[in-house]
Amino acid sequence: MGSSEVVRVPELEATNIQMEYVRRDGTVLRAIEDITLAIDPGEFVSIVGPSGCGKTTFLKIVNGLLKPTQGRLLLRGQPLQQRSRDRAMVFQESSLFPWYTVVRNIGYGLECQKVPKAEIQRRVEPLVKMVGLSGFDKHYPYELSGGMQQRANLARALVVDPAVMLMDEPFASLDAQTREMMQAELLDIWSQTKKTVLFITHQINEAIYLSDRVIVMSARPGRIIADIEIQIARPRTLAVKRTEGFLRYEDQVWALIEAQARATMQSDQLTELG
Amino acid sequence: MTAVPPGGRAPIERRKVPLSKRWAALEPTVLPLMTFVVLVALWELSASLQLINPFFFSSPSRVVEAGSLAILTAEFWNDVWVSSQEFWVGYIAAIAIAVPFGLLTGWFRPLHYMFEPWLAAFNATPRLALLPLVVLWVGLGFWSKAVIVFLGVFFPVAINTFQGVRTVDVNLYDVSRSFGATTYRRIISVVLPSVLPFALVGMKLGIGRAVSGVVVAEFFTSQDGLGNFIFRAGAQLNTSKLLFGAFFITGLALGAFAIISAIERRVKAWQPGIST
Repeated sequence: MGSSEVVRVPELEATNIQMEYVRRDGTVLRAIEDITLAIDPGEFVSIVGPSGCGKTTFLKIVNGLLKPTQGRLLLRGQPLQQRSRDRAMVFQESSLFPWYTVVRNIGYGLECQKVPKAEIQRRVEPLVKMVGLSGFDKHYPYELSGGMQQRANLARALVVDPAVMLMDEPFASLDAQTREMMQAELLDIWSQTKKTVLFITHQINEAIYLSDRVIVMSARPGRIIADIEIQIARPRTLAVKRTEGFLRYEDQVWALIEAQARATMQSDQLTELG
Repeated sequence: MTAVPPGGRAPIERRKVPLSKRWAALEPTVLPLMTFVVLVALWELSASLQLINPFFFSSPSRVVEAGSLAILTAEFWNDVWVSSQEFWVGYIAAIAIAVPFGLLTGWFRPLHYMFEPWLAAFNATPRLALLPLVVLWVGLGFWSKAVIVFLGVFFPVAINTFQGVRTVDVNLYDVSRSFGATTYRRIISVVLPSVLPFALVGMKLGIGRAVSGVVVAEFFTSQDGLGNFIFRAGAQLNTSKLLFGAFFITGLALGAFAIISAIERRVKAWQPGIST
């Protein structure tokens, strides 16, 4: 972790983040526990874990949508503001406003910041082009394919020019082929924009392909059980997924997750029996 | 088969549209008109063949004749004017209050629990039974009818609006929050667009209730208005004039319906498919 010569301030630093909910019967549900991690500027970090491990909860905490019960979050060394222009979130499927056209959707964040109309237009235009939606500006979301919707979703986050992009399983609902294409496109866009990315997924292969680091979370309560640096040279083509080195990473991550998933299934069965 | 280059597109081929497809396009307009024409013709025919007694049942030509006489009188247009005012004042006032009320009761859970069961109960209360009470409060004039209209429209609009609030997508609300939207913008960009289609359904339901409210209230309390026009025709045993009045009111109600439908189409431009 500690680089010897230069002391770099991490883009995002989370210390001992914990999230608990009190259920109606008074029992406490601990969603995530003791999450400590630092992300460097320009780094692409993915979090993978079994379903229900609290990955999305953590992302929402970083976004400011949820307040953690414990822990500290720093953005470039500064405590997190509740609403901040430093982070933008790319949500899961169908999170575009169905009643707005593609351009209006993409410009939404700027509209919230009360940016003048002319400037919104000026800033949205190149992004429409970048994500390959030229000619669809005036379309409504229902007229777009799933892949195109997620491109618009991506553009909506990029347009506010955030330091950190938070992505919550953005490709989960896409078909396998579209998904692969979108992964490649995302890397392309990322290399152009140099954003810091925190990416949540349950697909191991996706996490390894995209990331500089893959963080593996345990079953609930979610903790970090591994932090794996992916040493595959960039730029990466989709073909890299079939190389030996890639498959080794996949085996490594899968072994970690499988153990967690089994533990969850077992405890579920126990509670059912009990 | 011509070869299509990868990523290219085959040229669009055009053929003559088969007759069955053309008819399918006309069907929705032609068939309802046909029903109308056939029914009117049957009615006219049975009256002229004395199968039914025109004194009781009138006939299309007699209704048209009575109508063409009526529309030449200033009295008739006064009736139209009076009823229209009662309708629109009550209708718009009800919407203006019911939509915010529905938004609040839908949004705040305590308000929801406080009002929801009672709204349903009041909605089921026969409003015309309250007419004598309304007359006691506001008198026999214009306001008694406007209040009856108000009562008929308020409940369906309020109920549909708060049902609409419950359909607001929490995910979209989170999106709005995450981009730092103010409360005002969240309402404008997330809540209202989801709720409006529901409120409009309530407004459509309200039209029928408002019209019957105006007409029946005028039977009892008025010297003028279209309800009173019908009442007078009945007293004169003039079935043709009576039916003309009824059809004219239907026409006005359809006009109001068309206005709301036009708003609905604009509001729902973002939705796939056809509405209504």
